[in-house]
Amino acid sequence: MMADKKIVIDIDDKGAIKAETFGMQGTECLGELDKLLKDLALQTETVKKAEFFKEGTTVDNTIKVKKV
Amino acid sequence: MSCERRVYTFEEVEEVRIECCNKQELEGLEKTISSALEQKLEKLNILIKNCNVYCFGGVLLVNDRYNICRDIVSVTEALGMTINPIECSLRGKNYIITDELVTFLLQIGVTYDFGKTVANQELDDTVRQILLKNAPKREVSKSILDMVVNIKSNGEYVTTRTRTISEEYEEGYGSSVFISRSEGAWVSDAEQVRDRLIQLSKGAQDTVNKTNAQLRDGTAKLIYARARQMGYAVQEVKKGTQTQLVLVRCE
Repeated sequence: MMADKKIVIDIDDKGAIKAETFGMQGTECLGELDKLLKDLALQTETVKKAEFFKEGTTVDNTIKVKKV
Repeated sequence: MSCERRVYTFEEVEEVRIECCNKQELEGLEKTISSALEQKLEKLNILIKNCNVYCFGGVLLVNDRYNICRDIVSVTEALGMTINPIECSLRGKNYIITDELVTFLLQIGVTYDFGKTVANQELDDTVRQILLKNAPKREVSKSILDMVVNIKSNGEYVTTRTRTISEEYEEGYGSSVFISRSEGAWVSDAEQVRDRLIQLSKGAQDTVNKTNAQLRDGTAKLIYARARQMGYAVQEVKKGTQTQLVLVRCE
């Protein structure tokens, strides 16, 4: 089972938006934030967390039949 | 030799300059409010860009022909703008949108046109009639407008104060001897004007503060609507002057 994806967004009264993602790896978080904040955040500053540099691991469980 | 006592009464007039709300402050206010309106409209524009939008001064007619803007009412209201659904000959859902800030600007002698910020279509006769019929009436105080005009032309509010002065002389043949002088109290509208200017200034500051909060709430509502469309469950929490949105999606 995959973890929940969570985004916490803080908007202050000067219009500054701060967003932090949890449970997302690699560029997925940037894609999600882009969809969410498109046209709203005109100047952006990105701080990449450790999760960003973790590659999502996939398990290839295809069974290959060895020919004898 | 006979002498006669004569009293001469005259009025002294002095200029009074009231500095509590000056031209610079009004110009700053105009800039702040116009910029806030611009930001509100830019955010609204994100939502209504696929609708037919018509503009008439400080009023928008939004024709949502295919009913694609489900969140238009909540987002517009969160931005502190006024939105009224109207029945008219245009197909789909139709809304008249305006903002009290337009009236505020009008009160300080500035006419704001939404068309500068929002992409809009050319008005034909039908749309013009709909806008004329539904445009809200704006009430502007003539006395405040006069004060604003005074400040703009003099740099600060200029009024006068007057007092009555009486001088007594003993006059004989060819001679006049000063006996006494009495000065009345100064009479002026300066205090009332100062109170009204302080009120205007305070009201303006409240409006600016309220507008900042409205921009924050409108932005939050826009993100909220987008997040829901993206399949997130959203919780909105107010934290002092901040709004926090917590978005969760289970996969």
